[in-house]
Amino acid sequence: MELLAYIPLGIDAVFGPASRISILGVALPLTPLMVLAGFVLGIVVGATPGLAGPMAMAVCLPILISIFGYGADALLPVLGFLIGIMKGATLGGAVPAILFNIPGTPDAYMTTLDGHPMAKEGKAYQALRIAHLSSVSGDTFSDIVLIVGAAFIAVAVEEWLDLPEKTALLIFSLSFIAAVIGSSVGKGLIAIGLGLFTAFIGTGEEFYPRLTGGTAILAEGIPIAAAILGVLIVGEIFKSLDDIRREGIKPTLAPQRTAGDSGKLSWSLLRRLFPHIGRSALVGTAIGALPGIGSTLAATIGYTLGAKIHARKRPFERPFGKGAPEGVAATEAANSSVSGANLIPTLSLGIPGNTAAVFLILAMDSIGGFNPGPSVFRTSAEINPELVIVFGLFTSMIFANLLNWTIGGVFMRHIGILTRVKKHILLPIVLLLTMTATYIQYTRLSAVVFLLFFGALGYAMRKLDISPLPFVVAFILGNQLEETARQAFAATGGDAFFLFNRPVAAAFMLLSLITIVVMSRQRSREIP
Amino acid sequence: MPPIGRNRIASLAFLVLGAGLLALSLLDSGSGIYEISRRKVVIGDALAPVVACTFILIGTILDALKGGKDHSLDRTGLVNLGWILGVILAGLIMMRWAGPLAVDLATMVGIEGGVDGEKALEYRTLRNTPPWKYIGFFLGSTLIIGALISRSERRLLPRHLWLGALAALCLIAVYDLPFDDLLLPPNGDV
Amino acid sequence: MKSMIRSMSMVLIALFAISASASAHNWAPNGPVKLLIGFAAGGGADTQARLIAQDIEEAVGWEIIPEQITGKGGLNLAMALKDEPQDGTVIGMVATETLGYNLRAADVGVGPNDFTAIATTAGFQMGIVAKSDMGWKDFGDVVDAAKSGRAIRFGTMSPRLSDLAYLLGKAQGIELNIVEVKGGKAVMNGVNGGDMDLGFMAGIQAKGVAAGDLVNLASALSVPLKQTPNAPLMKDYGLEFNSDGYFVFIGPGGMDKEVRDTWIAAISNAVKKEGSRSNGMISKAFGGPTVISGDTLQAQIVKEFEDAGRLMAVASQ
Repeated sequence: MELLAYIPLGIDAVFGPASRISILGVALPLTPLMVLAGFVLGIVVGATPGLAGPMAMAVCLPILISIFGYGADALLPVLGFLIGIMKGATLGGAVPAILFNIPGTPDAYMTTLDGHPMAKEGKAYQALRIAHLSSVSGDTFSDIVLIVGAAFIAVAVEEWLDLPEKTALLIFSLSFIAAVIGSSVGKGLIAIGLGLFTAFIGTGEEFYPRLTGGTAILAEGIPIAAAILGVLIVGEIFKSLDDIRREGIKPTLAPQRTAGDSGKLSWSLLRRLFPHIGRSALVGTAIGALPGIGSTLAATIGYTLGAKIHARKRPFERPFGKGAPEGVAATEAANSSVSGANLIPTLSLGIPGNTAAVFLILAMDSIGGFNPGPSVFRTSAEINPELVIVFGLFTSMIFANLLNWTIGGVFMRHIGILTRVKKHILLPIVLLLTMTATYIQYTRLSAVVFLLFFGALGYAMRKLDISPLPFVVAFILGNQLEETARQAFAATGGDAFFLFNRPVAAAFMLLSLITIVVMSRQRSREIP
Repeated sequence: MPPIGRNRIASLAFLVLGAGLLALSLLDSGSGIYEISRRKVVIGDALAPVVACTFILIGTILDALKGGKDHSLDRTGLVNLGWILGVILAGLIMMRWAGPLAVDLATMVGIEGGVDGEKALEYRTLRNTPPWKYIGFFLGSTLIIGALISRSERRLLPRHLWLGALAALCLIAVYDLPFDDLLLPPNGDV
Repeated sequence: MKSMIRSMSMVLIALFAISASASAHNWAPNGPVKLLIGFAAGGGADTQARLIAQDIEEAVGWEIIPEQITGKGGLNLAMALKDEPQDGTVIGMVATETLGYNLRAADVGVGPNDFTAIATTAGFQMGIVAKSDMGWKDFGDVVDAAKSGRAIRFGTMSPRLSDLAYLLGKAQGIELNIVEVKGGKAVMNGVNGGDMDLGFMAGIQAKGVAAGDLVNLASALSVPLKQTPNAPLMKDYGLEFNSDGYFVFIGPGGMDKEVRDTWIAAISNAVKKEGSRSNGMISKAFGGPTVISGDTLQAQIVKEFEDAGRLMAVASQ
């Protein structure tokens, strides 16, 4: 079957009669309902400072799995819900940034710089409308790139890369992530090393579970969700509780009055915004397609680039940072265009690009029946069920974009109230939610203890300026890396230099080295 | 005056950690860096962790050479972290044992609990029967949430425990009531 | 006081146990049953276990809560199951290979008699499979290709199968590059994607073979494959071992006979009943259920454990 023939199959998997459930006698397609639910939840979570999309994804996953069970039928509704959260949270993050100068999500920090000054001038609704328009445009553009690009990359990888080259590609991805994320290359490498080591506990080819000292509790390996949720979510909660204890509880802010602010965007304003939206969408998409670099960096680059061009071309107008509408547009278009492109390495190579992608991979891994990687895009005489899922996923994303265009803005303008929820009450509850969610998935208290251990590790890493994302990506890819290397070694008949005596593999290895060397020089110069 | 040499201590700690893990990799892997199997050389189980430790060690050296601003892991942070972990562990212990203890007490005072009027004397057989199955989770959750909120507010009010109890009830409603075969803590362990 | 509570409950439990065994042939678990599954979530084997659990829940009304314990060829599950109560409230599903070759190779002082074999549900349809565009009709063509100098990559999914592949090559005087991966799905992806030239598949190949994409070059069983009865056996290529294996339900050692027999009846009824969920699934993937149970099964597993020693000895030469 041809690749294009999967488009109707994917649409059918999402909207078709087989996927419908009956609610009050009306047959409704399940996956779009889940996307909608996730989307609304995402906006709410994004708009609540202290909560973020990944937290909601982590807490919902076990519930979703227990509703839909394991198996191929569960994949689209669950992944659709998670994608809804992902998209909603990016949108919602702008709300408190504009209204209260508090970024709802980390990538909305740049939005506060111009969005909040606008709100103080009584143009809050206009700022929200600009954020919405930019966010949705960037997101849609990114999704189109994903849908067009993912299959080509996967097919090229399958066609051109043999086991040794795949091993080298994984090494390159990890080196790249170590080099570009976090405060220094050295710290990135430490995080990668720790993540790999954690992945190797209890695994391996021998029947003796290695690195366990013979203890039964480690023999099954580190529970995947416990380590990921621990470092990413629990670590963040510990850090925030620590901050609250040091700095005290911040008083609640009263919402800004917005009388007489209809927020309508005039055509002349739109014409000023479009170049910024376009540029930032390109920046965000390009950055998103590289594994490991998140939306925060995209927002920073999009904003900085926009500021420079704006200052050069329109020096007579209000500059970025003083309430320029262009500033909101440049930031929001950039951080929203990361999410779609980020799924390119996720789906076609199985390499998660950011935290949201980590949770999508975790969902795929827990449910089973879908193993992201080049094999997903294979076309053959029989129908490839995994490819149907991919196109179902694309359909869900387009549907989520439609929701975003239509009802996203309305929601966004009416949830400012959420920022009044108190963080120091919310965080312990989210912590308990995460603990319970982990327990439900593994049904043993030892998994919760692992969760807390990795939470403490995540706390320490944040305090030591070590980014937790390289740790998580290395943890996810660790066993894949080892297995691919073993297989490459065996398949080449025991060639110890398999990484260096084939041109493509050698090129990847060289690139890894160059990235690390160049980035460590570059970044040591940045330090005063 | 900023604490002197804080980064040095961290680098040293990572060097020790890396070296320790390296030793563990070589000693506790079930096979060496490589093995002979079916007359061929194959990669052994020790290779991958050794590579991981190499990353840690190289990273530590690069980081130590670079210098830069001090990290912010301090005594206050460790005390706060220790306090949080302590409270949670106490809550987990409560979760694990409150239910079985309640069943023991109920047996002692002669209340019969259980399925189909049968005498059920073990918490294990009651682990999916209300109200027994909620006792540990409810008490443990209330303790954890209440204690963490009061720690942030720097005072203990009854309101904090009420909030904890309310949150625990909500969690039970979300995770347990709609699903037959989900087990709340600690019911998979007993 | 706590010890008093404990001892009191002990006495009562003992009384309860006596009264339970008095009412013979009526055994039922005294609470929810923990079903340990030794296969990755979402895969064919996991689905099978969950369907059987559902069928049993519907038929006899016991509450069964599935739980995943994967890794180390089922040994993680076996080691966890060994110490669980043997009152029939904890059982597990693994492959017979777990208690045979794998337990033997792990050499941890535990044998098949530390477990109670309950019943098998289905036999593997293990074939040696390649893509049809390789142009091979049977394993003999692979031997010819290897002899003409082509490096052959043979995908396997367990140490036992790697041993078999090695010995098969040795018997034919050819050198095979044996690539061991995790699970049958990985072998199929490897073969389809061109990372491997051929490999063992235990039933997952059925659809591909029917569609003409894949071909069974040989049966790796002691008997012909149900789907491709004309494919030669490994015996025909001079290999005295085979890869016969089954999905099997086991319990901790020393399970009461009555408890075991009740479980046998429950499992057997579930998988054999026409139109049950598990029966439908097993018929599609494995050509129908195969139930071997009780003492026969126990003896068979003990034999596999002992034979494994011989296979390992031969393969290490």
